[in-house]
Formats: sequence, structure tokens, C-alpha cells
Amino acid sequence: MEKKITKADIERVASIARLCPSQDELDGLTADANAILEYFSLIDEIPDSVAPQTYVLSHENALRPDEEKKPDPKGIRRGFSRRQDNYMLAPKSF
Amino acid sequence: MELSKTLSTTNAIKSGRLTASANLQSKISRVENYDSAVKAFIETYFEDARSAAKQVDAKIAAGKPVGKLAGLVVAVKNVLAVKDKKLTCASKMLENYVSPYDAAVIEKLRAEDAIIIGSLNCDEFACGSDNTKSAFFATVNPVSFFDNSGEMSNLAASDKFVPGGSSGASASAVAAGFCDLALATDTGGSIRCPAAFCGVTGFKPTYGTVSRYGMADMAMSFEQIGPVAPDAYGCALLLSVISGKDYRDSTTAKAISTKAPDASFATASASASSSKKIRIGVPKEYFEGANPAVAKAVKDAMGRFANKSGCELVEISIPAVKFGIPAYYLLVYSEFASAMQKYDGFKYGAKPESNDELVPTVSKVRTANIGKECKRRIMLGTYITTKEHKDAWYTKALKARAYVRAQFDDALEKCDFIVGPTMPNLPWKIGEKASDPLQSYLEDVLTVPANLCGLPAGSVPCARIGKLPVGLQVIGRRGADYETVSLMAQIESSLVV
Repeated sequence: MEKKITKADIERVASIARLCPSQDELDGLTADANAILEYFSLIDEIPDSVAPQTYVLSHENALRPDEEKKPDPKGIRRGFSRRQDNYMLAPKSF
Repeated sequence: MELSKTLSTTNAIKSGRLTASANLQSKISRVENYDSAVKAFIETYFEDARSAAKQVDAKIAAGKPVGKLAGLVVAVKNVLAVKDKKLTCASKMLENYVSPYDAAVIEKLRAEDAIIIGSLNCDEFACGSDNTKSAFFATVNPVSFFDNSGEMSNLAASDKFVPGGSSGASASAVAAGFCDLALATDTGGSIRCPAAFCGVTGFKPTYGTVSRYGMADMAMSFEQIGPVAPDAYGCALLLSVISGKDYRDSTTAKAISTKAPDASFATASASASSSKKIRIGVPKEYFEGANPAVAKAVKDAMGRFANKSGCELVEISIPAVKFGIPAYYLLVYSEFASAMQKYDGFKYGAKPESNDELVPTVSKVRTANIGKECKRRIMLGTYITTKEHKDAWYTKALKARAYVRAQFDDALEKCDFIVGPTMPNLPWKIGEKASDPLQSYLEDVLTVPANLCGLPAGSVPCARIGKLPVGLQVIGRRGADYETVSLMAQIESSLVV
């Protein structure tokens, strides 16, 4: 499979990742991505028959006691960068 | 056998020979004298710490019971939430973020009467192997300043070495005597690498042993919080406090519990398999690409330990080691890109200054406040998880993870432990490996397998080449955390570094 990454790929990915790198940064990221993924294509040697593994342990769900716990709203609100009364301010999205 | 430094301090405090306040003050004095050179702390909590130390002293004076960490001074990597203190992750993005609550491990430290002295630098969002990727400043390995007697007398040293990463300041703080113990996190070697580079002891628990509630995550299927200490006893003591199931972190595992080190601690590995000799596997792949001086130092140390202990050393082969770096980094990129989505400047992160619409505003905030290596990981993680590239990279990396795990599990069927160097090379000078990300990644080749497989692994100092320390890595069976740290204690006591 062709895995070469182009500058256009990087620009598209930047847009999805909500980043806006400069032209110089795009050139650097494209070169880095190709060098890194060229080395990482070593994993093509892994047989396709191997089952993918997401987690290393099989877990039971960790359930909390069935009692309500209220977070401290004052501490959480303090983290908002822009706020008005008890609300977080965000730019218009439509 | 010589008493562990951690055990000596805790015995002195509990018996009243040393007050918690005096112990704390000795650490504060060292921070004030030397941290301008080492640059380990992002924030110090001296006043809160003095108040906590007084409370411990009052309890001891009144004959009241005290916790397992009574009066011990602990510093914490700044990816762990400490209530009402900055949680920066060494990133401009969170430079002024104040945590509204304590992480689970911080709650446990407080419950056992530890004295929390401050928060420690690291690579930004724990992404790095040498601590130069902090957005604030690079921590310097204290060995740069050591004289021949191991004292920090040469603060004007021109050769400044990296402390390893990402928890470089956690190991530096222990090595420089700024604290008795430190908390760190290990996603691909971030505890073991700095422990090796700074000449201290560090341990990454089995995945699921320690709650990650209140930790800013980097790659959630790999990372664990773990201890850094002057010795294996200190690691075992701190591990016994922070481990345990937590309903707030669904990945904590029920079956894993880690007891406090007791009188049989330094022989627990032997008693765990008392009917036969301990078999220690030495994978040839762990030595093939290593600096020859490092490889020789580790082999010599293991030979000396085997002669003294009667353990059996067996040369083994784990060919899948070569897939560790690609499998690890591809999966880390994917998980990191996902974990970083929440830093958009509103609930978390730097204040947006523009009044543009949502997407341009978020993009500007992220671009201005996330560092180069983190951006690289986000971009690559986004690329390899897009629909058209997922099968070629992400799914393939999950298969590689299974393949690596199968070979390590097979080796640990035949052997009780695996040992080798922690790092293939000695600490390098600050700035020496800044330009090539791949070269930097390859330094993690010997540490990432334990994270891919969820295995417990630690590093003990085993030699010095010049003044630069060499770390010996011990990897145990999943869940055998106590036995693994115990073997580290036995190796430590058999070697005079």
C-alpha cells in the first residue's frame, strides 16, 4: 500500500486536528511524518492473522457505590477562561 | 544488610529521633540552594508542607497512630491534580490552570501523612524522553553537578546532561535530595528512563494497579503512575500506598494488590518460587543495539548478582522487540490525539483572544499553545486514524501489540523475570538530540515493551561510567509487582555502585 504522505495530507489533517501550522511548519511536519512512517512500516511484517489488541488486561467494570456525589462547581468554574455568572462563554458556532 | 535510606528516614521520624518539620526543612534548604541549577520544580508548596509537617509532629508527640508515609517528603510530577494548585502538564496551554480537586494518588498520600512539597517539571504532556520538551524550562540532570564524592558542589558545570524523560524532574528531585520520594508517570519508559539517567530507582506498575483518576492522560491504554525513590524499598513503600482499585478509574484491576514491604521484602522473589531457583531471562535483543559500555556494565552486574544469589541466568530471544517502537508510537499518537481534543481554550486551556467563530478560535488557541512534539503526535495520530488510513496503521499497530505481548508472555512462562539495560545509551547533553524525532523515539526501544504488554518493570542503578549512571531493568509477570520490586531490592543490595 502507498503510504507516502503529501503536504496536502498534512494540511487536511491539521484542519481536522484544529491546528493551523505555518507553511514552514507544514514542510517540516510532512518531512518528519514521512521519515517516521517509513521506519514504522516495519509492522507490515506482522502476520495479518494476528488479532488486534486494544487492552492488555481483561477488566470487570469498576462500579461506584450508588450514591450521588456533587462536584465542586466553584472550582470547576474557576477553570473556564471566559465566563459570565455561572456560564462559560464560547464563540458563536453557527 | 545496609538499611534502606527511605526506611532509615521513616524509622527516625516515627521514633521521634527526627521531626517531620526538620526533615522537611532539610529538603527545603536543598531546593533553595540547588534548584536554581537543577530546575526541577514548577511550583513549591512550602507553606502548606510546613503546616502538614507540624500536624504529623503533633500526632507523633501525642502518641497517635500515623500513616505509612508519616513525615516523608514527596514531590509530584505536574500531570497529577493537587487541589488548588497549578496543573500545567508543563504546557503553555495549561499554564494558569488550577486543579479543583486532588488526584486519587494525592488523596492517598495525604491519608498516609506524606508531606507534599511541590510539583515537578516534565516534557510537555509527558511527550518526550529527555525533559527538554517542557514549555517552561529544561530540567538538568543533577549528576552534571556532582563532584567525586557525589555532592552537588559544581553548579557552574559546563556539560549539562539531560535527566531523561518524561518524568525527568521526578528522578532529578530524588537524586538531588529535594524530596524523600517522588510520584511520576510511565507511558513508554517515563519513570524508568529518568531513574536510570539520574542514578535512582523507579518502578512502573502492572497496568491497572494504580488509579489514574486526576492524572492528565497522554495515552490511556499504556500509562501508569508509579514511584521514584532512592532505593527499591522506597518504591515498594510508595507503591503500597498508591495502588488499589478505584471506581473512578474503570481500568484499575481488581486482582492486583501490592502489600507494604515487610521483613521478608528483600527475599520475597526467592520465596515466591521457593521450590526452584529463580530463572532470569536475558534477551539478546536488549544488548544488540546498546552502547557496548552500557551492555557490559549490565551484564557484569547481573553476573555478580547471580553469583551471590544463586539465581539462574538464561539467555533468551524475543525477536518481536523490534516491533515495539512502531507499535507503541503509532498507538500513542492515536490515543494522544484523542486525549488532546479537550484542550480548546474554553473549559481547559489558554484564554482565546479572538472573537472569530468557533473553529478558527479553537485552532488559533491550540496552535499558539501546544508545543512542537505534541503537535507532531496529534497530527500523526489524526492521520493514522482517518478512515482511509486506519487499517494500514492503527489496526496494524494493534496487531503488532498483540504479537509483542505474545512473545513476552511466552518468555515469562519460561523465566520468572526478564532483565536487561533500561536505556541503550548513557544520558546525552542537553540539546544534543533535539532535531531528529525518530532518533529520540528509538531511545525508548527497551522500555516500551513493558507498556505494550502491561507488565511491571523497574530500573535500579547498577554502575557508573565516569559520573554517568547506568540503569538495570527488571521486568516481571503481570501482577507480580511486589516480587519484581523485591528482586530489584536484592539486585541493589548485591551491588556497590
